[in-house]
Order: sequence, then structure tokens, then C-alpha cells
Amino acid sequence: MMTTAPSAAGSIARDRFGLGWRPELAAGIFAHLDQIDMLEVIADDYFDVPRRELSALRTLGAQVPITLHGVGAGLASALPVEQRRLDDLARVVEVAAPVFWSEHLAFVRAGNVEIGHLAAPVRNCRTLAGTAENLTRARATVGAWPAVENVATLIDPPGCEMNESDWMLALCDALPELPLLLDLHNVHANALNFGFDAAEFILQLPLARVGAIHIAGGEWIDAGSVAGERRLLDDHLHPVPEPVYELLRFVAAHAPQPLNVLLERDGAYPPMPELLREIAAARAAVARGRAEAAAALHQPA
Amino acid sequence: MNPLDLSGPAFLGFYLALLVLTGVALRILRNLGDGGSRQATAPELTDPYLIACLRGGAQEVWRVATVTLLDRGLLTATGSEVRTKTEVENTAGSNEVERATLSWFRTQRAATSIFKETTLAAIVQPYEEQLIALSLLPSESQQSRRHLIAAFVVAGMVTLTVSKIAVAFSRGHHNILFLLLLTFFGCLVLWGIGNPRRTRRGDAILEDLARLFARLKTGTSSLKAGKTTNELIWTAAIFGLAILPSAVVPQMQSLYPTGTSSGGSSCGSSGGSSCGSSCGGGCGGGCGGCGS
Repeated sequence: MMTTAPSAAGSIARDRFGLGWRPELAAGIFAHLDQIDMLEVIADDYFDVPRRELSALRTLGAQVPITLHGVGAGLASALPVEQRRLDDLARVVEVAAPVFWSEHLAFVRAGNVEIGHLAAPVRNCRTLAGTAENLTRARATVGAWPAVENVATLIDPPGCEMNESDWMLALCDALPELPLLLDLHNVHANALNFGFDAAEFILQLPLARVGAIHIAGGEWIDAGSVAGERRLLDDHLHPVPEPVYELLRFVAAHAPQPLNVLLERDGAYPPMPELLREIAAARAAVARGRAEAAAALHQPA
Repeated sequence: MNPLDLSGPAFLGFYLALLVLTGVALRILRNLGDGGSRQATAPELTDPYLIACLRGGAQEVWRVATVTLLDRGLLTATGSEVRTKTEVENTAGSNEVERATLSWFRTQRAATSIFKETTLAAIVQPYEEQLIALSLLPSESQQSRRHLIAAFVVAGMVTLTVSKIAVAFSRGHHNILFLLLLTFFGCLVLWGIGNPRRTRRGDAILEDLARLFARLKTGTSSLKAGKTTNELIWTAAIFGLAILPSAVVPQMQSLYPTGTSSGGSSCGSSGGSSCGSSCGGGCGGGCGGCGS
């Protein structure tokens, strides 16, 4: 049975650490479930499969708690999300019974034109209202709010009237039960690419809403427009950099509720022990953050 | 109309149709007896040896263990025989099955010798018991019920055959070979349908695992001897040793010349193919003579 969200509501008893389910990693994952608390399954991979095939997800969920992660709904848009996609999500969620489900605050299509990318939305009042409406419909169809994830971007979308944190904050104000999935590498990449302070950005968000966290890696690429200018690309093909662990520690110190920390890796898979080391490093980072928070609590005023 | 009055070819057609219908009915009865293929909670199946046991029984557990330990370099193979390396302690095994395997091959022996050792049966027994408790293998009472139903069905088909032969003989016809063959192989298939190794739920779970690990099946070429033991053990447990490339376990054919099963019901396939080849090859002349 799915809990409504990875929130601080008390449905999740402790911090959990896991990674994205990738069939290539299946054997390594099953061999090391003692070190993996949770798996994140891409929901869209199961949209067009027969129900019988979906049952494999339920079997996976019996081995380890799973979450479902949508990548193609395109919720962050002034345009209404396609009902067919929400129905597909609802079907997968119903069968797989995940702990929670999540989607990106991304713009992925306009009409029938797919842009093939999780693009940052234009942050204005229209997209804010459209996104709130889409999320409300998603909740009604699926039966639970998605944890919504901040996205990485290489360009600041033209026509923005708000910065990212203000836009997300306004969305959270409009939808008081909406949980957040905080992607720390996306925050890190955006902060480096657009010159803001990642920790400040995080503190501007309603951290009590954060129940899930993504960590990942990326690489520097040429920006193209200006010679010598570089941008950090969130490609999920590289190890998690140290600043992301530092942000994780920071969040753990400021968000006392249980967190579900998930490592994202989408290719160039290293040997399983390396991925387990990254999960262990995330565990250690959260433990440091928790310890800091506890120490601060016991310090005399 | 009395089917016993049908002419030879017509009766064979009737009998074949009856076999098919009975097979379908038997399968439905079996499924009803097993309960649903799904339950509210799926079982935990994180031990590859448990999966190997589900797929192929005790022998598969020992096969998978032996091949895994060979891959890890704890055993060596010479021809069809296996021996634990002298410097390897039994405790190098990661569980009781592996430790028992290392202990058994402390003396150089045929790889298949471990199947026959009754003292080792107690090591695999808990796997069988666990699978029965999870309703993935039939319990004794389920098996008894299956046997009873299948025996009843087979007895019915044999009675029909005997009755038809009696009628044929009484009318001076003696070309009954095709009917006898159809009865024999048909009843074998019916027995197989009525008594599969796993429950319906066991089949469903094994299918689920095969789907989850499908990339292993299509990517066996990426297995590397001694470097991908996790992948090897899960591939072998879910899909059988037959799927492993010879480059990974070069000794496989010598170790298990006839027994690298790849899962699935052996009863149905062997019965079907035997029947087909026998009929096609040698008994066409007797067809259609009885009872006309």
C-alpha cells in the first residue's frame, strides 16, 4: 500500500538509502540488498507492458521497498498533462504498490512535439497555475501526490518572471500537501552554472516537505555560446562529487524528518562495489548532518 | 452417438480432441487447487540457491553451487571431476550449500556425485520446505490431490482405449497400434500437466524473476570468468546452466553432459516431441483401422 508521500508525516520510520533500479545492475543489487534499503524504478518503462509483466514489479517490491519515478509526464507546464499518461502512472502505481511516487517539475512537450529532455519550465504565473492544476489532477488520478523534483538546466528559460526557489515556493504554497524530491546534483549544477549559492537555495525551500533526495554525478561541457565557458551537465554517468555529499549533509542537518536518499546512475556502470561505496558515503553524510543537528540542539543557548 | 462406434480415423480424432480438452480441464483443476498465482504479498527471494531450488530442485542447487565455486576459483575441474583446492577452507563458502559443496569435493569426485549423496540432502531440504511454506512448491496434500486427479483422468482415458479395443476386436479389427501410441503418450502428457513441479504461484514468481533479470539472459556474453560471479550465480539460478557461455565455464559439458537444464516443464516438451517423432517415423500404417 502506497503511503501518500515521502513526507515527514511519520509513515517512513527512518532514513533509507538506495539507488535506481536498472536491469543491468539486477544481479549486483540482489546480491547486496543488505546494503540497499530502497530502489527507485522508472515508472514510464512499465507504461506499455501487459499487467502480467507489471507483476514483476510487485515481486521486486517484496524484496526491497520501491518507489516509482516518472520522467515523461511534463507536469511543469501551462498546458494540461495528458490524461493517458496519468492513467498509465495510476495503473503502474496500483500494481507496484510503491512507498511513494515522484515526477519532475519539468517541461517536456508542447502539443505533440516532444523535446526529448527534462527542461526547466518558464517560471511565471501561467506555468505556476498550470503546474498546480496538473499536480492536482495527478493526485486525483493516481491517488497520492507525487514528490516533485527540481530539475537541472543549462540555460535559464526565456520569459521567466521568478527565480527557481520562488517558483517552487509559490507552488508549495498553492499545494500545501505537495512533497518534494530534492535533487542535490541538480541544485549543485544549477548553482555552478548560474552563480548562486546552493545552500542558500536549499534553505529557501520548505525543507519539511522534503522526503526524498537524489544524488548523482555529471561532467563539465563547453557551453558553446561563449568560448571557454563551461557548464556542469547532470548526466548520471559519473560518480557523485564531494560537494553533493556536502549538500546532503547540510540537508540532513536542517531536515530532521526521515529521508529517502537515492543514487541515480543511468549508464557507464561501474562495478557494484563502487556504487555501494557511494551509497555508504551518502549514509555517512546524512549521519554527519544528523549528528550536527543533534549537537546544535544540545548546545546551551 | 456412441463414440465407440466411430471409424478408426474418426475415433483417433475424437480421442485426440478429448485429450486436449481433458488437458485443459486438468490444468484448470490444478490451478484451482493451487489457489491464485498472486497473493497480496510476494515472497522474499534474495537467495539464488532458493531460486535454483524452485526452478529445478535439489540437483540444480548443487549444480549452481559447483559452477559458482568453480568461477570463484575455489574448486578446480578435471574432465568430469571436481576437487576443492587444497588451500581453500570450507568456510570460504558463503552459505551452508557452498560449504557443503567444498567439503564434498575435498576428495576429487565426479561433479554429479553430489546429487546422490544422501547425507547432503538435509542441506537442501530447508529450501524445499521454505518453498512449500511460500506456496511456490506443492505441499504433500496438494501433491496427493494432484496425483489422485491425474490418476483418475488417466484411468478414464485408458478405460476408453480398452473399451474401444474390445469393440474393435469384437468386429474383427486388430490394427490398434496408433491408438495405443496415442493413449500412451497422451496419458504421459496428461500426467505431466496434472503434476507439475511448481505451483501456479511458483511459476508466476519464476516468470517475474526472469523478467526482472531479462538483461542477464540477453547479456550473457558480458559474463567474464571469475569476474562476474554475482551475475553468473543469478543467471544460473534463474535461467539454468545451459544459458551460460562456454567461455565462462569451459568444463560445463564434461561436468554435466546431459543435465544442464534450462528450466520449464520437462514433462510437456519431452512427451510432445517423443510422440511426434514416434508417430511420424514408424507407425503410419496402423492408423485408422480400429473399430470401423
